[in-house]
Amino acid sequence: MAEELLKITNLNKSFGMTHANNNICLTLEKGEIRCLAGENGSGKSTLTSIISGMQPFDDGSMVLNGKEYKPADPLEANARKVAMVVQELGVITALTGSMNIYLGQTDQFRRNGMVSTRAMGKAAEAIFDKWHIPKVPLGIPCAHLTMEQRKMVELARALDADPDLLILDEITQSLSHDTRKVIYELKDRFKQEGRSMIIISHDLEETVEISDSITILRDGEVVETVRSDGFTVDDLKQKMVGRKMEGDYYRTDTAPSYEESVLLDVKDLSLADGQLKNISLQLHKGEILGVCGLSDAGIHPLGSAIWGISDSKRSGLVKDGVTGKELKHPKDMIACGGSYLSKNRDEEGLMMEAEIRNNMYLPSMQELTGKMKFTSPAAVDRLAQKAYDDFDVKATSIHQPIGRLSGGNKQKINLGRWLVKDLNYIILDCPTRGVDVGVKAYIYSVLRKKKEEGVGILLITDELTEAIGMADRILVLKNGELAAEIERGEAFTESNIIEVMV
Amino acid sequence: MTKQQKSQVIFLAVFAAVLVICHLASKGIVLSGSNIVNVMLHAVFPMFAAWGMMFIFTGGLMDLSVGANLLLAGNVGALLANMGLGYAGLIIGAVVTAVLATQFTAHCAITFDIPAWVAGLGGALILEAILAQWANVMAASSNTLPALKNYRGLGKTPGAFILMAVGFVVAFLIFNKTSLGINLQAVGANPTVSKTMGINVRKTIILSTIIGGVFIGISGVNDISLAGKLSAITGLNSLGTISKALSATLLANSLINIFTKPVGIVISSVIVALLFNVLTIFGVPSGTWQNVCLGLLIILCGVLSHLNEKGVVK
Amino acid sequence: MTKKRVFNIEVLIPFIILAVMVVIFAVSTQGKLFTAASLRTLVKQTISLMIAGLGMLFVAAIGGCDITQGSLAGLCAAVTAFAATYSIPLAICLSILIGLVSGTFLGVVNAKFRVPSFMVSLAMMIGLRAMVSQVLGNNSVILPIPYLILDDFKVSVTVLLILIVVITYIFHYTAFGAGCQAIGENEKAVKFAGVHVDKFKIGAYAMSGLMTGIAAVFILARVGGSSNVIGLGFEMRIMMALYIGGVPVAGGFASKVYKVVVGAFIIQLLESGLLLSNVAGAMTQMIRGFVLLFVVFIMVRINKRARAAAGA
Repeated sequence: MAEELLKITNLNKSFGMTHANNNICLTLEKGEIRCLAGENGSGKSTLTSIISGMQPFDDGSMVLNGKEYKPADPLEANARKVAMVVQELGVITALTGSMNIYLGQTDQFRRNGMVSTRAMGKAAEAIFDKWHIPKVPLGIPCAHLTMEQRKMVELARALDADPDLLILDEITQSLSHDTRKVIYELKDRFKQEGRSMIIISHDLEETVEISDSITILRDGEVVETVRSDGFTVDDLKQKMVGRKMEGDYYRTDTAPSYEESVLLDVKDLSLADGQLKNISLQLHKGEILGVCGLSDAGIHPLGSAIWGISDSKRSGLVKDGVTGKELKHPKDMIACGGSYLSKNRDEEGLMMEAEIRNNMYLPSMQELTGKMKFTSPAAVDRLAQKAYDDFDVKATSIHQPIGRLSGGNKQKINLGRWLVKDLNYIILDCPTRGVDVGVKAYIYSVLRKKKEEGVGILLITDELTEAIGMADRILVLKNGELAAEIERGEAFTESNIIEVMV
Repeated sequence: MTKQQKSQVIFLAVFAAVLVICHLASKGIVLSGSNIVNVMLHAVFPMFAAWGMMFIFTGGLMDLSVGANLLLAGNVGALLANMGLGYAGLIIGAVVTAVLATQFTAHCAITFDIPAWVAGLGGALILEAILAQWANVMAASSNTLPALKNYRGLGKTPGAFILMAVGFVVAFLIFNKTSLGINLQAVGANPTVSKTMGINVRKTIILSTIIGGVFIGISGVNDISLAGKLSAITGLNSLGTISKALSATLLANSLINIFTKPVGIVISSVIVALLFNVLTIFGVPSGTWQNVCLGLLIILCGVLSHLNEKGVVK
Repeated sequence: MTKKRVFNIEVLIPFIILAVMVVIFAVSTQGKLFTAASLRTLVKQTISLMIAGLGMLFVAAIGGCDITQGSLAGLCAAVTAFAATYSIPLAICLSILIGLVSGTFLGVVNAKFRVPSFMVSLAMMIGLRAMVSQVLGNNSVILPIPYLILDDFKVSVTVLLILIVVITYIFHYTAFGAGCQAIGENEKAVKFAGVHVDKFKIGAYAMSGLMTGIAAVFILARVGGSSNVIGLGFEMRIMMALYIGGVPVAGGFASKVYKVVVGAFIIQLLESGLLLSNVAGAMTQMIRGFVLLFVVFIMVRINKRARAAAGA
């Protein structure tokens, strides 16, 4: 039996009403490569950020190398030889690679009061040499480096702690094939030297391939920890999404049901930066059209591009099915009874410091404008109150700032303010992301009701079960292209969809 | 050759080409020795003020009181110099005054949570008033604000150029080669990452504003050495004193991907000084169309450097 | 219900400050400030500040920055002074037009070319001030007598009241006003809600320019003739009026018309009150500086507590 490196017992972490980590127990041996698997919102990132000292836990205990481990910040974690490459933290682009690697610790290179760039550069180079990571130019600002090179800088920063435990959060998805190999070699070396790794990857095949063992999380709890030998991708998916369908959580019918008439017609939609290539789709009356794909397949840009907001230039045709009008700006779509919900609710959806009322008002600004451009505050209050009541938002009143409401309540506001309008179709990008099970069930029931009323719903989702549970048809995207279209029925299984996705 | 070096070469080549064209068009005046000295002499003041602003602004403190600050600092320096303390009095008086003044606004912003922009406004009002009050008191006793008669070496050759060289070395080293400078850049770019990496954000900002104050003080010394006498300005018009320095700062910001800031400030200050110089040579009236050209130049640089901007711009 | 009370205090702060100031100056000027004549002057002096402040409110609401008002008012006044010798209505229209064009230009460069508004408006401040000297040269223009009617108390106050009503309508009762405030809260959210954010931003800067143009008409009437120092430091006084009235620097839904009105009064009361209390010129400015810092400090504290109480 190998020695124990890290032992986590009954660890808990909550954000408001969301229980992000619920009684997590986990044991990691020296020399073990562990992957964490689970859907979005299953608590993987919360767990790793607690281990790496980026946030504290509520209760429970961690033991590292036989001693109590409760890092107050990442520096303390580094001192205990735990380091992490964080998915979204990134580098400071104005500073050079070596400065980024030693940020906050530059004093060790002080000669006569100055930080010796040469000594720092040498030390940085040495990390790259020691761990055989592909070299990147370290002497120029990171603004001039590619995304992949920047990731290498971040990796070097973590490796500088000479870690016994290295945590990699979604590092491979931004890397090319060759660089991925380097990571795999690094992993082998860690194993040999009796060091451990915790890896999070969306690539399920990779997860099974490279790990010794896999811990599967679901809704903030550990489902199971399994050995990877003899374990297949299909087994993994079963465990990840094997949620019991409770009550009328999802649809129970097994056949598609929608009307002939087309509400939204998209032809040859492409983005200049290649995120989308010639996508055509039709959304019918009363249809829920699911869109699935891996994280870089282009499912999220598809939603915002149809809506009319994209970073790179859009080509192709988006037409309203009823009026036949071309839709170029979100305003055109709003005029035709369309709407869109971004995946990034807090950044691209809500105004966090503003009252619920003002958030509710935002999508209905045109409708509430009367003669002489007059908008009646009383009418705004009425609209906000209606959405507030209809969607059962839990707050003191419509005048409370959104601020620290729970994710579920925020999402109710975000969705409710659109659905309170008379809509023809709605584009939803991950509408149940980061909400608890109760609100999730509520949102599904609302969507089913809207479907019955004849609203067309384009449901973009990271969760296959959600698409399978709700959609009439599913479009699968791969590398920005339409890879398959599957109708509700016998072919509507995860394995069928994943086969196309990967 | 790295991408950055390529951009540097291209930029300098274009800059040189424009200069040569101006030189030829002016029938050999622009690049003549005496004219170059003249241009550089005028670049020293905005350069120092801009270096000072660099240390203050980079951490996120948009403090517009620097104009009033440097006027006051210059006068205090002159007072001490005239009291028989000479150059030592001039420099120490100005620097100490400027550092104290920057600490006032910095603490208003950081310790008392007053938005930096407002703290700068309030600071400017108060500093201007101190100077004006002093001028009033002096006038009542039939005196005026101290004029600098004897110790004006730092406003002309070679003193000004020695000052500039020393200033550049110090600004460059502190900004790029010390932990403080590196931390400051990190704090300005991304406070979250900085905190995660264990940088003390508050300490970094306070120390940087102290260094910024030193540069502001020196710019006051240079200004009064050049002018001989600095008058009191009220009604927040001290902003006008630093309009060239602010322009240089903004230009340096738009060159950030080509040159590191201290270098960018040298180049931008020279560009601003050159712009006025060349326009004067071509007979463009000063005070009017020359300033319009400066405004257009700033907007042009702003547009060029934000061509690929995707985020939210305030 | 405690929440509601905290909010009321926040709303009341500018009025409390105004009241405190009235009491202080009533004592220190021995009532001189509150004779009918001085009050009249006080109101008249506030007019241009308030008008330009009402325009700046839109820019403040979106969280932007416009420091062109001083130079712009100077240019508008210079051109108007010349044009007034030909036709007074034409001159007034010209002033408003110049303001509108300047503001729109600033807005387009900021919104379409994505250049920070501070950078653009600083450049314009330098350029516009230079154009004032260009227009005026060494000439001094005497205004035709009929123009001075604009300095009449009844006329100017009537115009001011009309403008306050109109701006209140636009800012608080139309989608444009609400949109500007929403942009200050979260620009991306507004964009994704299907609003033409760029148009709104350009509109906000255009409003600021337009109102500055109108303010310049009244400044000129007060001064009585052209001068190339008209408007020096004007932008800073406007900003002080906004901040002291409680308009947040970052913009958003806490921006209110009444805050500008009260803020402008506070600033003018401070200036005139100190003058009538026989405080020397430089000292009044110092006191103004400290009052600004103190008031904003108090406001930041109270807002923080109010927000914490409301669970934000």
